[in-house]
This record gives sequence, structure tokens and C-alpha cells, in this order.
Amino acid sequence: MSFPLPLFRRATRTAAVGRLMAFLAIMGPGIVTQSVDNDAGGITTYSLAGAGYGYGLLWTMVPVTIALYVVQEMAARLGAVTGVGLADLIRERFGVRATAFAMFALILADLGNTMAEFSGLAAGGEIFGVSKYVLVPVGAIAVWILVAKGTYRSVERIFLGASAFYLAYIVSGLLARPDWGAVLRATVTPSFSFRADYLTMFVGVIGTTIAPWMQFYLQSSVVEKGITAKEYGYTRTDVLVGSLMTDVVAWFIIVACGATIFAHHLHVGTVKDAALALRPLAGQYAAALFALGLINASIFSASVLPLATSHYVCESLGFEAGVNRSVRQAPVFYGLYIALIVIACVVVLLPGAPLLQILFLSQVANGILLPFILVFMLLLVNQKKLMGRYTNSHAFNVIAWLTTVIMIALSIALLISQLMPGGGGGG
Amino acid sequence: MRYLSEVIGKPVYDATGDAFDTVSDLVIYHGTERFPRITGILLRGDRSRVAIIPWDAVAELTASGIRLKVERRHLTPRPLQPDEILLRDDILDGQVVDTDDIKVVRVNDIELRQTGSEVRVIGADVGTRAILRRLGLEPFVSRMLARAGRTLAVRVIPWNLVAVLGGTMTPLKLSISRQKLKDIHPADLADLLEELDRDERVEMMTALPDERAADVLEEAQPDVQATVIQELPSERASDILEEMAPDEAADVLGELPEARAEELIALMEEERAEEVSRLLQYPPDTAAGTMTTEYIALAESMTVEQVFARLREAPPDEEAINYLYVVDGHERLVGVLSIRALIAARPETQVSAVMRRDVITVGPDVSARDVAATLVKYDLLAVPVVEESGRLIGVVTVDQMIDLLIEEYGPRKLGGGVDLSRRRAARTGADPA
Repeated sequence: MSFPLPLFRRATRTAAVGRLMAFLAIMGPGIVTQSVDNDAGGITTYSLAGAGYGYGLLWTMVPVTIALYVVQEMAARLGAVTGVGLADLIRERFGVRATAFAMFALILADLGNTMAEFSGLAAGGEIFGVSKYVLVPVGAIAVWILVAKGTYRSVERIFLGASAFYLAYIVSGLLARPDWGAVLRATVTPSFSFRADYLTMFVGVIGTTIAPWMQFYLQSSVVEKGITAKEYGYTRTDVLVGSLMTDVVAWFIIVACGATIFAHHLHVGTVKDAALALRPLAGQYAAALFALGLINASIFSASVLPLATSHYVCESLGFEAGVNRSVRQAPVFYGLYIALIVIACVVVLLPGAPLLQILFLSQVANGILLPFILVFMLLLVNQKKLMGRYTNSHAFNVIAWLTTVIMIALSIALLISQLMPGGGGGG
Repeated sequence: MRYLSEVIGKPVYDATGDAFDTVSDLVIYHGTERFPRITGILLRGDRSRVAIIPWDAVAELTASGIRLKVERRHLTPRPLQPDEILLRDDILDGQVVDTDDIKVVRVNDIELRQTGSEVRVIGADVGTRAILRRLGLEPFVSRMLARAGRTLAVRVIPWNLVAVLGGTMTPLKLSISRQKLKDIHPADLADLLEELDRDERVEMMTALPDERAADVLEEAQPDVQATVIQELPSERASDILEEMAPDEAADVLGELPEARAEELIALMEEERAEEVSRLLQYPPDTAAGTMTTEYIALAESMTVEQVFARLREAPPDEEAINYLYVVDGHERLVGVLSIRALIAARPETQVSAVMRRDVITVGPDVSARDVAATLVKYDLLAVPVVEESGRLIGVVTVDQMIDLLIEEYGPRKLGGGVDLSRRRAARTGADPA
């Protein structure tokens, strides 16, 4: 079986976890996935989008939300109809080469994400004046304990609750008194530029909203919950609500940053600068509020992502996996898991590591790697033998293929713009 | 030509030496043969994947491909038979059960053996080497490892120890699966169940006889129990629930959507259905919600000899043997008798003379946590659940509480000579922490 829940089965019998499960049953896999999606990388990318381009990228939120819903719905449907996780399905239908390819893309994307999580932790600590050389190792050990001791599940609710911190952006956005007319106009008026920095930002925004790992995570959650094609209607709603929630928050982050940082022509050079958007709400405590949110999101996602990644990789390639196995029984699983965390930590701990750039560029990497996963999903979801009458509708195919093609085109354009003389670096 | 992955994609020559197509898949008859024969070939050119070239038409299989005995136009393709399966499509890259090591493994390749023109499947290759081979990296990695003085280990499971679950369920396939799983302990099967995909779970539970299926389900984790029961056809699901201990069955039903639970209860035998519905009324975290109704109740007037006769007639479960409860005409609990006291007593003695009257009991609404505390405090193996009127309605045993006990008290804090961590470890197969 697949991640996420089975890992923590040992702990699922306690009363507290029983209540948590009931809570999650209402929340649903779609909404949970989206909550994890608003992680350190996401919040940084949206902040930079607002800070650097004002309301210029707001219009992307509409098509991105549609694409997010379509893609996540496909993942959920694949899980409900087949009862198998995405990585396993790629392996069973496309063989070893395709799996190795997909897993390579996933490892790259998630190594970036893990770096982003630890950068978020480091940056959050620096705002409080705590050195990253202290906080990052402590955070890594905390993540290890949470996971290895199986206590992660019992604190997940706290993380989830604390991720409501993003609501602060909605309040802050409102308090900043933006010109709502301009904001709404910008939301429905597409604009575009072939400048390298703009393209980078564009790919980053899509990459952080529709991340490759989310498709694996959501599909596994649906399978793990035992949702079948019969009960699938609820899940569809759940996915829709989750997609809307994520993007409403993202939209407000862009508005808040646009109304504060961009409007005052401030330059965002460090993560601390990005906290300025929270000034209207939190005043002098803006940085502290921002830092707490960042630290919470970072530990939350750092507990989920590297572990989930090693799970998908090992299960699809036939290595033993799971924290209930010993290191000797599952060397590849632990090796990969530890490698992801250690590499991420080392990069973040390099003296003078550009935390903001790591946070942002990792999301760009997500965007570039997304189409590889989307192609597999589209091929799977249209297999009659696998999906029966639950294959994609024409509209879904058009939207999903369009998303794939656009992401590939953007990535190529990004590459060309970086190579062209005069095309500045991203971030 | 030792592996399936090497055969797939190889050219197929007809008698004139014309390489007219390539191999897409090989077919085996999934019967009682320990090492099944290849019975046919599926060609890549056959887009609809229905026309099987019978293996009889094959002259030889070599490294350069498959040479047929006949000309292309004389081939007589046939449809896939009900008990035939496609090696690549149905097995390669999928999960199977290693019935020797008792775990779920992924088939990275399939090992073949050729004797004359006959080719048999001899094993499932689950090692890393197979993956590297299919990625074309084997020679490279082997060289690297050789330099470090190491070799790539080969892990092939002999085919007779492989159970293929999932896919179409024919009576023959089910009987083979039942045969292959028959020596595995229910607790181990429950662990396998958790690792399997949905279809594979359904096949395992369909293949097992009711009673064994019930044992397996009792050992499984609550979320797995619920999904398995949800997936099975209603008749089968209720048959399995009927074989489970009523309190376990009630726990499973409690996890299901109400409509489904009602449907399944309606299909159960009347007496059992009533008992399960009654247990379902109690909140899960209370004494009544955890208790079993399978205990032994005796009348005060019985003699020790009569008790033994009664026990011989219907031997109780292991869990229920520790204490015998004595009730009056209105089912009110009046005393408790340990097996030890029973053995020590003379045959003609009345039960009322040897029983203890000061019984430790709990009320139905007492929280599970407090029940666990009672068991620990008084060093009991079971505690009776008694209504306010004094009526005995069930028993909570240490076994039912074991997870809660470990969580609450930890292996170290628990005295009483019961090393709970060891007991649990024996059940789950894990190392005691």
C-alpha cells in the first residue's frame, strides 16, 4: 500500500487519533492536500509575485485554479477508481523505465521542496534572531522524531490548525485598503511578458500551486481512505473546495503584498522583507507573525514531503518501505529519506545561502517538472481498461493537456530567455 | 533468454524467415502446475490484444527472437482462455505475495527456463538487479560494485511460492490462491492485507474460507477492516462478520456508513444480528463498547463436575477461559470462579461454595481508559461489565485492551508478570521496543 496514512498505523488506535481521523474524514483528502500545499515555498512565491509585479499576476489565479481543480480531480478519480497510488500505477501500466523517469522528476522536485522547507525554517528563525545553524539541525531532528516515533499524526492537527495563519493575509489584504476596482480589473485582465524574471515568476506561481508531489499525495490519501468510485461525488466537492481555498489565500497574499510592498516600491531582498505585507494587520508584530507561520508550515511539510517521496519511490521500484521496518530491512527507503533531509540541510546551512532564492526557485523547479507527471496522469486517466466509464471528459482533457503544453512551452521560453544575452537571472 | 524482459520486443520469424512482428506478451495457463508452461504469444501488431499465437507453433526461442514452425498465413490465433494470464500485462511490475517470506513484493522481472521448445516460468525476480537490467544499467553498476569488491545480489522467488492476487477471479484461480495461502497465520495474512491493493484484498478475502477470513479480519487494523468489508459483496461480507466475535463485528460495522451496516446486519443470522446491533448501541470508548459477549455464565446450583461437563461440551475460546461467571435466575452476577479454583475443588462441590462473591466489576458507561486502569490495579485478566440492576452483559479482557494498556501504562510501568510489549510483538512480528 502507499503513503501517507499506513506509516502511522501503529498510532491510529488511540482515542486522540480517532478524533483526529473523524476530523480528517470531514476535512477530506482534497482539503488536507491543499493545506499542505500552502507551504513555505508557496507563501514566498506568492509574496514575491505581489511584491515584484503588484497585481500584474493576479489574473493567473483564475486559470491556475481551474487547472488545479482539473488536475487534482484527476488524481482523486484515479485513486478512487483503481484503488492504487499514482507511483504504483505508473509502474504497473508503464513499466520500469517510465517509473524511473517519473521518480527521478519527483525526487528532484521534492529535493527542491525539502530545501525550501528548511530555508523557511532558517528564515523564520533569523527573524527571531535564532541562528540557522541551531534551528535547522534542531528542526531536522524534530522531524525525524515526529516521524520515527509515529507521533506525527497526533500533532498533525496542530499543524493544520496553525496553517490557518494564512488567513492573516486575507485580513491584512483587507486592512491595506487596496483599490478594489484595480484589483478586480487585474484579476480578469491577462497580461504577459517574455522577460526572464517574469517567466520565472509565472512558472513558479503555477509550480507552487500545482506541485508534482500533490498528485501523488492526494491519490494515495484517496486510496488510503478507501474511497471508491461509488462515493466519489463527495471527494469531487472536497477537491473543489480545497482548490478554491488555496487559491483564494494565494490571491489575497498577492493582493496584500501588492498593496503594501509593491505600492511603496520596497525591495524584497530577504524573507523578512516579505513579512511587510502583514503590517496592516499585525503592525510591528508582522515579522513575528510571518516567522511563526513560516516555521510551522516548514516543519509540517518537512515531516510529510521527504518521507512521502521515499515511500513512492521505494514502493514503485519494489524496495521495502515504511518506518515500521528497520534500517537494515529497508536501506533504500531510509537512505533516500535521510539523503533528502541531509542534502537539503547542508545546502541551506552553507554560509550565505540565499534562502529567499532557494524558496522561490524550488517552486520554479516544481513548475518545470510538473508536465512530466501530468503526461503520465493523462495517459492513465484515459485508459479504458483501467478507468472504465470514468475516463476523462473532453473538457478535462483539453484543460489538462493545455496545462501540460503551456508548462512545457513556458519552461522552454524560460530556458531560452535565460540563455539570451541581456536576459537577467530569476528571482 | 532467461527473463521475460529479454523476450519482450524480440522479433518473431515465420517459417520463411520473415520477421513479421515482435513479441508483446507471453501467456501462461494459471493452473495447478508448480512452474507453469508458456502457452501462447501476443504480438505487438495485434492492437486489440486478443489473438494469441499458440506456443505449439513455436519452433525455437533464441537470443535473436522466436522462430515459428509455420508460415505466417497458416497461423491459427485463438482468444485468451479464462484461466490464462498475460505475464507482462497482469504480473510483471505488479505486486505478488511471497508466501515463504510472507510479504508483498513487486515483480521486477520473471525468470524463465527453457527445456527443448518448452518454456516454463520458474520464478519472480524481485531484486534490484532486475530493475537495473531493464534500465540497461546492470553491466555498469556491476562493474562499479565489482571494483568495490561486491556483487549485485539476485533475489528470485521460486514460482511455486508466489501467490498472484487480483485480476479476474475464476473458481480455479481462487482455489489456487486458497491453496497458496493456507499455511499462513491469520495475523500474518492481516499484515499482508494491509499492504495489498484493493482488488488483491478482495481476492484474498474471497479465496479464504469464512472462518479464516474472519480470523484475518479480526487481526487487521480498523481502517483496513472497514475498507475490506466495504469492497466485498454483501452476502460474503455478512458471512465473514457472522464468523467474527460479536464485539469485533460490531467494531467493524461501527466504522461503516450506517446504510451499509444496516444492510449487512439484515443479512446476518437473526440471533447474531440482534447481538451485534445491541453492541453497536454502546459508545465505542466505553466498557460496553469494547466488551465481548462470549463469556461463560454458570448457574449457582451447578456442581463442579457439571461445570467440567459443560466446558467439555462447548470448549470456550482461549480468551474466555480465565474466569467463569456465576449468575442467578435473572442473569445477575453473583460470583466469579477461576479455572484454578475449579481444578482444586472436589467434583461434587456446588459452584456457590467455591466461587468468590466480591467480584470487581465495571459499569457499561465506564470509559475504556478506566477499565484498563481497573485491570491493571487489580491485576485481572478480565473484568465483567454489569448493569445497574446487577445483570451481567459482557466481559472486557486484557487482550481487547492491549493497545490501550500499552499506550497508557507502557511496557515498563505494567507489572503483574505480563510482559505486554513481548505479547504484542509476538502478534505483530515486530521487535519488542
